[in-house]
Order: sequence, then structure tokens, then C-alpha cells
Amino acid sequence: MRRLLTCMSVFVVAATWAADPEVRFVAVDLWSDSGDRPLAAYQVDIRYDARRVRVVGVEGGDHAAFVDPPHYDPKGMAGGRITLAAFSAVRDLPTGKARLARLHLQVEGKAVPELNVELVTAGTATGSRIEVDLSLEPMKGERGK
Amino acid sequence: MSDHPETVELELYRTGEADVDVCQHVAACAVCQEQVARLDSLAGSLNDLPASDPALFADVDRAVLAAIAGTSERRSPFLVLVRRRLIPAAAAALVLLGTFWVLNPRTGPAPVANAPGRAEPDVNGDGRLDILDALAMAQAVERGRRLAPAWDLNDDGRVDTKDANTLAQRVVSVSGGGTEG
Repeated sequence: MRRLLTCMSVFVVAATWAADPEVRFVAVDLWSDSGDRPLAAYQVDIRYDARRVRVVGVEGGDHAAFVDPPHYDPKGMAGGRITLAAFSAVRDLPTGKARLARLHLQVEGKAVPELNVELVTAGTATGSRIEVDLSLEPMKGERGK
Repeated sequence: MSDHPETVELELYRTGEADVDVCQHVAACAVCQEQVARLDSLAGSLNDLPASDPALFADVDRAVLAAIAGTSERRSPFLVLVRRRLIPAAAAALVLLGTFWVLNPRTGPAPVANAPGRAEPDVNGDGRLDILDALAMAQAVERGRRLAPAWDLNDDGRVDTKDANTLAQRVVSVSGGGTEG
């Protein structure tokens, strides 16, 4: 009986896999809003369901201070958690809402992938820690504007 | 294991009694210079405290000396020096250092353990290892500030923006990235 249930479970999983084999690629943008405080550095944790989602690319943002791809650990691209961090020592820093980075995802299934972003730290040019509002949004337009 | 001198050594540096190697380190280390400045500020604050009534302490001193006079033997000048000078100086130093650490419990030059076998530099001295340390290092490089030799994370014999990027790369490590100090 136990063996039968195990076989049935495997069958159900296999049937689910076969019924929803779609693999697609989507891009999501990491946005921040630091209000009137210039953002000089940020570090965020992004968690996702590694069974359905895989990070296949990381790009920088729009503002010149963060146009280069942020630092990340390639091990996080398939492990369910990736940390992004970047800093800029230039004087012209973004204020208000700014797109900091873009993630390219490989997603299995039709459901919208769930990603959770959490602020680790953010700071101004003086090194002061600040709170910023973070959001992950589907890419809009060619450059995510 | 820290590459920075202990607080006691920094206090000796502040009072001009430190060894040559400590002096050389502080001269080249922005973190330690900041610590020395804090010690100096604290010492200044203590000096600004209102003076005690010397007559009161003189009375206490006489009473104590009278109490022990009957039991004490003739003392050597060395013991007198120890009792009158070194012990009060050591007590004052302990009070000074204790007050400093109470007021600044997380501001010591404490490295943050991260990568195996090597301590990461807590560049901004906040007891945490995160991207703000890389930012502080990059700004120090860009603005020509004093750079600590321990910041040479890629071991190329110099501290530059590559080291700041190396530090940034380490803080995002999902296997060993540190935040707590």
C-alpha cells in the first residue's frame, strides 16, 4: 500500500510537470524610493521559489550611479536567495524613485513568480543609514521606465 | 584577530607613550585615528568635570593613613610610589577605558569575521559588514584619505577601488556574507 501511494505521488508530480511544462523568461526591475536623500549604496536580499524560478541575468539600473550591474553571488542565481549590492562614490546620486537593477528570470509554469525583496541596508554619501522603499516590478518598456 | 592596536595601546599613543609600531600604524590608519580622537574627546570631558573638595579627601586620606599606621611596617620608596602614583593612575585608566567602552560599545576597530581564515575590515567601524563598508573604502580612496594596509583585500600591495569592489563582492556572498559584527 505504501509503495502504491509512493508511485501515485510520483505519478501526480510527473503529471503536473507534464501538464505545465511552459518555461518562459521574464524580467523584473528593482526600484527604490529614497525620498529627498541621495542614495549612495544599497544592499538587498531577494528570495524566490527555487523550484520554479531561476535568475539567469542581472543588469544595472537607469541612473548613472548604478548603471553597472550590482554585485551578487552567482551561487544565488539558483538557490532561492540572491543578494544584490552596489555603491557609488560619485557626487551625482539618485533621489526619489529610481530603478536600481533588473533581474532576468527563467520561470516554469504560467503562474506569476513570487519574489520577496528585503532591504539589508542603504546609505547616503556620508555613510548614514537610511530607510528606502523597495519594490520589484515587471519590466516596462525597453528600459523599464 | 584584529590588525589594529588595542584600545590601551591607542590610549598610550594619545598620551605619547606608545611604541613606534603603534605610532606608525595610527599615522596610516583612519580608523585608529578616529578612535584616538574619541579617546581624546573623552579625556577632555573627564577633565572638564567639576573638581572635588580636596579638604574632604584630605580628611579621608589622613583617617585611612592613621588607621593603617599601626599595622604597617616601614615601606620602601618603591612601594610608596606604587601606592601613591601607579595605583591611582591605573584606576583612572580603567575608569577611562571602561567609560569609553560603555559609551561606544560597537565602535572599536573590530573586524567582522566573514571569509574563512581572514577577518574583513569593518571600514566604517559600525560593527557590521555590509555595502556601506565598501562605500566608505571607495570614498577614502577617491578623496585621498589615509588608507589602512589591512584594506588591501586582493593582496596586490595597494589599496584602491578594486579592494572596495572585492569587499562588496564578499558582502553579497550567499554562503558567507556577513552583516553582524
